[in-house]
Amino acid sequence: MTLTLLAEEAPKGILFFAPEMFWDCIMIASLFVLVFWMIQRARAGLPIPDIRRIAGLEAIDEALGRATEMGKPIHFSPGMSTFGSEMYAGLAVLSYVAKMAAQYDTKMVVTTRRPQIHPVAAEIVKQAYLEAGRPDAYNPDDIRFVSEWQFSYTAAVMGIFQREQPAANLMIGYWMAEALVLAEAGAQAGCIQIGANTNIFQIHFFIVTCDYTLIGEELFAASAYLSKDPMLTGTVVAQDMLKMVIGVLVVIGTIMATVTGSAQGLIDFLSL
Amino acid sequence: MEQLGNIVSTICILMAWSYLIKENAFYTFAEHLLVGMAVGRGIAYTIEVQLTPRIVDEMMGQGRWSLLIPAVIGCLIYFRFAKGYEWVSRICMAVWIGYGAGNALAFNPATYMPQVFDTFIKLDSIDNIIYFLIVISVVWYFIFTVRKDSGFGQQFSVVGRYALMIAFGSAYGSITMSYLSLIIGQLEIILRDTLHLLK
Repeated sequence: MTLTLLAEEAPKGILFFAPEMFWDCIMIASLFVLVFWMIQRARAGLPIPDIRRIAGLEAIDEALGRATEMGKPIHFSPGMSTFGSEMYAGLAVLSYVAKMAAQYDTKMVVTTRRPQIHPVAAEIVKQAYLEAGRPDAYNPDDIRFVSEWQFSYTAAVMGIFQREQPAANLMIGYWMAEALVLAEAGAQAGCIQIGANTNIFQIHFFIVTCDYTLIGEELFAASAYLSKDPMLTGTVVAQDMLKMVIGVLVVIGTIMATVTGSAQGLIDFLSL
Repeated sequence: MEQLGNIVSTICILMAWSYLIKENAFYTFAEHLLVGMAVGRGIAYTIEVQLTPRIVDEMMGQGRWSLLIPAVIGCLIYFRFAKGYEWVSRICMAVWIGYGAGNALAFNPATYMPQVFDTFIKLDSIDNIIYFLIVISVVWYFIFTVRKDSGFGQQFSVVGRYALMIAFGSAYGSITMSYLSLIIGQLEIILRDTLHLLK
């Protein structure tokens, strides 16, 4: 079941240069340069901006503290997606939470939906326990691959909520139709809940059921925010710069469309 | 036979819904049934959709031996169970992660620019002005490293947050309606197909 042939998803043929992706290429290259520049600044000890307060991430310590005081476990899931940006962000948060859980001696249950994510999550948690100086506290049985079927996974995690009564539930990643079901089940079990989702069609369910919600991009700033690592912060600064460029482009394009009647010239230029 | 299927469906639905009262043996049974079926289906799916067409038909039948490479890489994951050789399984994970990152980097940006172009609109109506302001304020909200503690920057960020909440509220309403239709579907199985109380 864990065997997925990578060739299936690969594009047919080899594309050495795709002209329609010129500006996408420029955008990615700019991002690389900006990230590299910011990392160099961070390494040189030069000042780089701080990340603004993100309430959902600050609440992670509170959630862990609550679980520790109550002597109950915490539940963490990195979401439903396979390897991709949301999963990497979720796993980065997992690393932080696992380290904190190890330090506080709090049991942490991690559930995964994707078989290929499970060994990675297990390695991350094991490494976090090692870094916290508590390798003996790592229990591989707490890192559980549940089911690849969306609602089998959901049903099983709902059962875990009721049987193990976690004090905190962290759902950090990409979520689909199970978002509401799981968050409701967590609320029913009395968990303090922190949700993060980039799926705009489901995130509102987290907003109404979770105590704290990370909206979209906030998830991608999480690893830098939690670790306070200047190099990771540098990447967030670089991404912000690119967002500002896009914002400026939107303003210029809109002014052109309003004043001249069309922004086709700019679109043609950017569609080289 | 169809009626038997309806009765089984009704029993499973009621066992799942019993969770709403509290966790109980019926729900646990339904949960384990669902997970067990998923495992069984997953194995059958992998054999039918991946292994047989790829390995048996394409590789062994048509001689596409290049498929041996991903097949062998995939099999490396089972080294997790070989004491002392667990590190071998990391090769498989490294390929997976590298492929995921590369694929995302190569094919995701293509979706960005058309979205940017679609925001180039004439500010000749209230709708378009609101649209423009929301796009800019939401982009501003998601900029994390600029201080927005006071003044216009803070207020504009708040506008972005409220715009997001209004959009989420709208999506919440429409998706809740679609969930209600799912419940109606389940009720139809129970009341119409099984108990024949509805026509």
